[in-house]
Amino acid sequence: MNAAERALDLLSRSLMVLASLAILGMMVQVVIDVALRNIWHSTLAGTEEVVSAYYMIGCAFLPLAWVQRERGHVIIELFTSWLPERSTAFLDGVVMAVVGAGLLVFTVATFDKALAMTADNEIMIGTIDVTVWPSRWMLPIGIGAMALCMILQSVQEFGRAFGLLPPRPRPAALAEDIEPI
Amino acid sequence: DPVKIVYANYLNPKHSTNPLLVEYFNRVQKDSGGTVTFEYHFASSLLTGKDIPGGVRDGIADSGYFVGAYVPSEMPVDNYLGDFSLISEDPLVMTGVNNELVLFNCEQCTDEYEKKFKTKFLATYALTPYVYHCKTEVRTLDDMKGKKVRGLAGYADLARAMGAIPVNVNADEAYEALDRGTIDCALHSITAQKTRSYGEAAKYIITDSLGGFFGASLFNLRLEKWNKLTKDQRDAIVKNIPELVTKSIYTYIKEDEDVVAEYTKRGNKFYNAAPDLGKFFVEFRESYLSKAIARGKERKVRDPEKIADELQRLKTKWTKLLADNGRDPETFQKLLWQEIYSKIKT
Amino acid sequence: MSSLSIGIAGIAALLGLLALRVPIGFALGSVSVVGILLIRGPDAALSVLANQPYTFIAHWSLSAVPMFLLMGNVAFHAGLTRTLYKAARLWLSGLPGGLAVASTAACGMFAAASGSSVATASAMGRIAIPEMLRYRYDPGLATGSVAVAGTLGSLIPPSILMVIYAIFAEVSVSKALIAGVIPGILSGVMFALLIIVRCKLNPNLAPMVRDQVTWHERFVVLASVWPLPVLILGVIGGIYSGIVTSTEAASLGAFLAFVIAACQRRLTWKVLVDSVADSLKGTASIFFIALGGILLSRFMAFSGLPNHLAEVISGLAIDPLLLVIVTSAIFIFLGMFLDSLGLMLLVIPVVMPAFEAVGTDLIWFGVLVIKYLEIGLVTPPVGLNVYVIKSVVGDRIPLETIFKGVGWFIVADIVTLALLITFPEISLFLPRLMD
Ligand code: NA
Ligand code: NA
Repeated sequence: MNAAERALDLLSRSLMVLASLAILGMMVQVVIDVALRNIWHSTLAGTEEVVSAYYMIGCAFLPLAWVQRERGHVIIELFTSWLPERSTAFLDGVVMAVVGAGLLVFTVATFDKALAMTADNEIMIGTIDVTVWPSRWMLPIGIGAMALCMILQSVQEFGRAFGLLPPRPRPAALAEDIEPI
Repeated sequence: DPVKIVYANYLNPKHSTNPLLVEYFNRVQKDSGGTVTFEYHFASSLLTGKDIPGGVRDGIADSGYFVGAYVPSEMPVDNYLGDFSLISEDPLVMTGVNNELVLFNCEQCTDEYEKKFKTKFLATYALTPYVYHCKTEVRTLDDMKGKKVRGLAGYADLARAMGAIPVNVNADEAYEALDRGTIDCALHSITAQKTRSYGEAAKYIITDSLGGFFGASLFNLRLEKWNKLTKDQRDAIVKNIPELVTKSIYTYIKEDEDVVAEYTKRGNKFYNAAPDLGKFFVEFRESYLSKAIARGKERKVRDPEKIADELQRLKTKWTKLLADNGRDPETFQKLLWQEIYSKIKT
Repeated sequence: MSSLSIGIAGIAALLGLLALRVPIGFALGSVSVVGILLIRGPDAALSVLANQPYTFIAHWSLSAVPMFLLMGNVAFHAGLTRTLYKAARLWLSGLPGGLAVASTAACGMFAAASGSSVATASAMGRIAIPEMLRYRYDPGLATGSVAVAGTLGSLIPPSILMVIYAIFAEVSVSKALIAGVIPGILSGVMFALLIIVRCKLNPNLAPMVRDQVTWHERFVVLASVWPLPVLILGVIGGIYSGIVTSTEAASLGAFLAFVIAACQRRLTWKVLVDSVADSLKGTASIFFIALGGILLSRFMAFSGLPNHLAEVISGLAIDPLLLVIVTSAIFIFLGMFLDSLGLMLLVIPVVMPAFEAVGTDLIWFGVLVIKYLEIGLVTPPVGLNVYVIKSVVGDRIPLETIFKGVGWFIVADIVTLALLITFPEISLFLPRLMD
């Protein structure tokens, strides 16, 4: 269990590093393009395509596993707030197993698409042609990693439900932000 | 047996082709004795331009408006044909050419639809010419130098050749980009003056044709559906196409004329380029043929010269047909039926 | 089962899944995929899943969301926002809910720099909310006010949705954009009035400054407030001078935030890492929900449910007032579930002819449409702006608190909507000046 947790931690962290390059790359490339156009009457051809295909896809899909690791995917707690802690854990275990399985289907579907687009040598046409098929692979990678996190967390929730693992720590209170008036 | 066909396109709700499609659907329904009905989703409400070809293949929709330029690597042959838009001066001629070519005279073209997308190609049209809409009065080649110009693919090459800067601005931002001077000129058909409000920001329109896009096929049907239809049902579909295509293309031409009249009244200027720029356009378009062929090879189109020759042959044929028979809508519709659609095996 | 009943069953299933703690994006997506499977078969369902998430995200104009998130996060982590809020607290010490009013005004100003409501909330959430919480504002008020004021982003130009509407309706883009200005300001004023009244009636919502503030204190603090105004004005200036398009403006804003932080010697490695990580977490969780929303719109297109409702409208073409009221009800109902673009794509083509038939000014109608879409951004269960705010505040404030905080503002929005319907001049005054 610990080994799986460490491996997934490393995986989601590495994907975050790649995503960081995407978000910073987006900012830098757009600013360079703007500067070239306005100051030097030139342009960084392919910016729109690179931003759309690589940076956007990288920002949106690569951090998914990390977000799940931190339980950052939004859920509605209102209707289950009356449940005792261990029942909530059991419910979460079931839900996460189902969601994990669904995400695996999503992973396989996007994997097949990535394969097909690689075979087609997918491009986007802008002021120049930009090869974009590599960006297709970020979907199965990002979604697959999220699926694995989800499945691991499902197992952990079942552990909590049956008292084999300690309860999850409560979220930090608002106190840290509050300043005396 | 009653059959429902789900149709998808991405054209704006007010685009002139949409009501004509609805009319077409109604005619097919009537002629099939009510056995073929249509459920249509316009304006990307079901599938975006990029999603339509694959969506029809996979059965999300049964039929749709295909624009290969959105999926260049999946439709290399269609895109290769699209490159010849630059040599399209006469939308009527090119409409005839392209339909005949893809249906009967270019195996690769047919295969791309039927084998790759499991779809029967049925109707396309050539659009009215692309022209430059500019913020300032651009007349000469010298005026063009250093101008920031919106245009993709072949048109980006044209901008570079003129010494202008090809800028890629998103379609939804093009009006504002013109308005604030982020770009100086944008390339679109004349109707964009009205439909995209270009006329409020770009009051100078160089009417020299830069070719009319013909990579848009407006009605394609999944083979699985086509194969399920009876002969009578297929006949109802095919025999109504010439009217659909004819009305669409003549509506485009009429809209262009109306927009020129309306915006001339508002003080916008429609004019020809100065001789040097005009000559540059013509030469660029002629020289583009070899570039298109080279690009076709790059994109793994087999024997692109053969397709180009066939295209030229049909262009000559249709130019002559129209010269001999006249250019009114009835004649054009009759020619489409006689030369093309009557020959489809139903 | 007919497509329509599959659609209705789908909505019911969605509500059930949401109540069972299923992640929202997944609940939306899975219901849609299963629904499409039932209507169009497994190949179609898998095809939607394999391709549409990619083509939806790989889109240039969406890049404003990560970039404005990054801008907001840099401003927050480098502390560029603190002095401004300190100043606002001192200057607005006599105004009930002063900081929430100031945040609303800041959102309104930022709306002039941002083309989308989600992007506006992305940027302002990080800037405004922690500051209000720091001064013990009620969490529902703090989050709700920014979630709602973020929706000014699509009403005040630039506005991507308004441009799309104008092209849809074939009306003048510039007139449609300018038509949003007064309604945008009016909406903001209504929000501010609501905040003031609520805080006056219940001072616990927004604790006032205890001691008397001197004018000396007020002027001293002004010297250090410049970073945020410079940032916002820099972005607006970039747009209106034509240096950047409204999407590029977001990248420019993020870059300017880094530059200002560096000038203030606050750009540490930790600031960089925290800003980037928070922005990525926000981007991924917002887009994951947005993706589910897109798939739901596709499913709804198949079910024919929006069409079915919208066709009711075509039958009402006799009485313009009735037409507008029923349209409003349908838009607000569908806006609970559908994303902005999906709502526009599915409903506008069906209802527009009815409005044209009674001679409605389509620019005025455009303002109403944008207002409907903005209300849809904050209504449960699918209120993207609320999820943007949720991704900013994280675990510490429950989603229900934000939706509850938003509730009051929706009432204000409905009053605004009634004013816009009763007095078309509010929308049409500026465009008419252009003739
Ligand atoms: Na805006
Ligand atoms: Na909503």
